[in-house]
Amino acid sequence: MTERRISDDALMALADNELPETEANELRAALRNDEDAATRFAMFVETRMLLADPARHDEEVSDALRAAVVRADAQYSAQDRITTNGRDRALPGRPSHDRGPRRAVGSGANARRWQMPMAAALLLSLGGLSGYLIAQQQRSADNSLQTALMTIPGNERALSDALDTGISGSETVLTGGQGEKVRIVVLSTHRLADGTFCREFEIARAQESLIGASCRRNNGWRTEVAVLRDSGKGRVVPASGAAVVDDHLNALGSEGALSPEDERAAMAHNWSLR
Amino acid sequence: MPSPFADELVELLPRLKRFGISLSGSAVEAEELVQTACERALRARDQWMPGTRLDAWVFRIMRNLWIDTVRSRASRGPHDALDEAGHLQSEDGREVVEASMTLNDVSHAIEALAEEQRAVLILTCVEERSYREVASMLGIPIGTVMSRLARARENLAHRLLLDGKKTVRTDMKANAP
Repeated sequence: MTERRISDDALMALADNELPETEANELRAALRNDEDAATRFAMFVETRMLLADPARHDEEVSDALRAAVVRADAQYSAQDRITTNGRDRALPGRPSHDRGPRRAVGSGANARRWQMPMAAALLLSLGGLSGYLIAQQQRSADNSLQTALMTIPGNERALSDALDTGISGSETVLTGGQGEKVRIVVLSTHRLADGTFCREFEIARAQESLIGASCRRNNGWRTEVAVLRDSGKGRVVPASGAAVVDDHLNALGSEGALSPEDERAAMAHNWSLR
Repeated sequence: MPSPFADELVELLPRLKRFGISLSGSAVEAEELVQTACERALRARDQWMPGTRLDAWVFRIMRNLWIDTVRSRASRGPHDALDEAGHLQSEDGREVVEASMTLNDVSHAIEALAEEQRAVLILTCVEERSYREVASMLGIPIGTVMSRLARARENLAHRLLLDGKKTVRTDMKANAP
């Protein structure tokens, strides 16, 4: 009997939730005993999960599972102690294995940097919006997006003035050359672990807005992350610009927005490190 | 008190479960898979390199466990159990050492893709757009979206060594007297 090989297209469509339920169920049943197809399918699932925004995948997890992880942690930590004291004596029923020198698990911003969503990582790696919005650039005949990006350099002073002196929630309205209104809204203030202040802001015009964060570096504000949101039809809109910016700030070590009192105090000290 | 490593794992559980559901199609199987993978990760925690993606590391463990289960089922018939696959795995002494992966590795791998592949990959996997939406956005047929996407993912997997061609493993038997 010759078995028909399951196509990559079908496996990828299953991994991407593109198949109707009946077809998906049939394919899953076939996968249960087909190592070759399972291996190819796993590649599609794994590549998708590596790129997916962690915030969008919050499955309910049972208390039993959490408890099992904590229990296993205690068990293997105990095993570590036995291994260290008694030269590789494993707990009964568990295989022993060679252990290298123990590395501490880091904590704080750097250790958690790997948790940054792919979208934010792409922003950094590809040099800002140009990479992330590659899809739009490829198809868009007009250059309105690029024009929107120019909004920042064009109004650099206005943005930095707003960040210097605007309390969170304050709004600055600018009028462009052709009477177009551009709004700058300061959204929040964050303090990083090293004391550096960062401020989240939004720049908006008729159909587009840019949400970003600037941090105080060398007595000036440097925009570290920015995500374009475009309300025009048929355009790619990043899932949540605010979430990308928040995740970026978290990865830098922010523990959340400052209170209005703390923000006022930082402003009074001209955003200097304390 | 759970160790910092266990804390990080617990924080990852919802994401690991999502991966497990995507692989197995079942929430129950997913929890079993996550539990076994976490036990293995805790046992081999010294081999995870801080600063690299812990999620990617545990995904690898889960993926291997799941494929082992399929293999075990295919060779032994329909009665299946993840424990059985796990047992087989510890008998042959395979460990869970895997190539480490940083966020930069992933973004550099994406950067290295052909532009047409990168666009469909980002729209589908990062933005989570449907094939139909991507086809309409880029003005290309769905079949083209799928073929570009499949190639993009194969290239990505190859660059990130996910295609099984260069997975790092240790073999306990090699260390046995």
